[in-house]
Amino acid sequence: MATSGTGGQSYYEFYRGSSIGTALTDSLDELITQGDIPPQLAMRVLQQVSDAPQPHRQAFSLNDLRCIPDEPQFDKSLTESLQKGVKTKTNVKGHLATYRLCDDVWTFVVKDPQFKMEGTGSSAEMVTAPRIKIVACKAGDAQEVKKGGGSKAQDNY
Amino acid sequence: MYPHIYRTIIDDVIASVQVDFEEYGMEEEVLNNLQAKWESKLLETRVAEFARAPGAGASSSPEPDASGPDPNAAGPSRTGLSGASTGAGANDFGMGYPQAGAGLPAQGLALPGMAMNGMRGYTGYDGVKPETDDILRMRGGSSPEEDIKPYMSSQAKPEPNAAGLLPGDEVIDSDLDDSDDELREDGEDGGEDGEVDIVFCVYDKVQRVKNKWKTVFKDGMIHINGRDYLFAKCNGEFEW
Repeated sequence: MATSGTGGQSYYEFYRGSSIGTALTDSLDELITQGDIPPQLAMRVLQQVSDAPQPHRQAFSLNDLRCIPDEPQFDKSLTESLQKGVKTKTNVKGHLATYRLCDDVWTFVVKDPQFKMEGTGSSAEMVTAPRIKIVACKAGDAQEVKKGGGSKAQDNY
Repeated sequence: MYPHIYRTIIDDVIASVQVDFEEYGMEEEVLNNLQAKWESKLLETRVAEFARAPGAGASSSPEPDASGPDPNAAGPSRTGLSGASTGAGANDFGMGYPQAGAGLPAQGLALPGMAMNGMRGYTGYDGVKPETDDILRMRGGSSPEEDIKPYMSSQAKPEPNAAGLLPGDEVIDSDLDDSDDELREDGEDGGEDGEVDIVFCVYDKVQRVKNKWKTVFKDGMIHINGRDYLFAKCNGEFEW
């Protein structure tokens, strides 16, 4: 799921499913289909492999979530831009329909989510939808499971 | 909501991979083509509100006049997809787009109509037949397709695309079908429209007390009701 980066920073590939990521991967797909670029080059756009072309990566798949070393360009640019450029705080409430933890990836399906998006000023925008899916990978400094102290009914993940 | 972030990401990626494209012996216009496709798709798929309702909600970016000078008219040498998409980009991203030619040779951007046909066919969109205008406009606001049409019409023929669909067989949001299916598996109802509301983020903390869940998410991209919202931090409170 994660690709490692420099300096201990890790970059996730799953952001490629976002609007901007889908737009990029679709564009790359088209260029490959038209024969404009080799698949290896597309992978370097996404993953910016720092060495020479890697022939074994012929089997090109945009859903490929393997761990690949070195800097993933899109993943890196996106993650760093999010971390540096976004200050907004948001709250969400709703009814949890489904929860799942698999390989350190949480998936929540929330019914009637109510997002409170803080604006730049005092204004806050409320955004609702019938349901939303939340896919969350583990943050680099995510809190580990705490042992003891808590009641039996409490779980820290 | 954060047009300048998308602008930053695109510029950063394109600049960073330039050396790779050179290594592979690609013409410069291939990279320009990639950027143009990327931007036009981004505009096409979700950001109607960017262009149309800059004042809605918490949007804070200073929006240039949406009816600004048409880049095609201003720069006749910029044609086809690139001219159209960068024009839309200048308005919709709300940022100074390098259409003045910062690092991009205008003449290298002309896109053969053939490439456009390939693009249409592949995505399953039909940018050829006039009746699709409404759909495209509805989804993409000032749709780049309108500007592109004159350049396409000479070569565009109704042919089945890769998916065997003829123009007119509309497949909206075909790019998202996979995640859509996945989403529907998760719940009892899937909703009639093809809209996929989803959040991509990382979690700092996930905590449960009985049926109460509290989460701390970070660095997220919310795609909801056809719009994108980004957050640095998001506290979640859910009841199961």
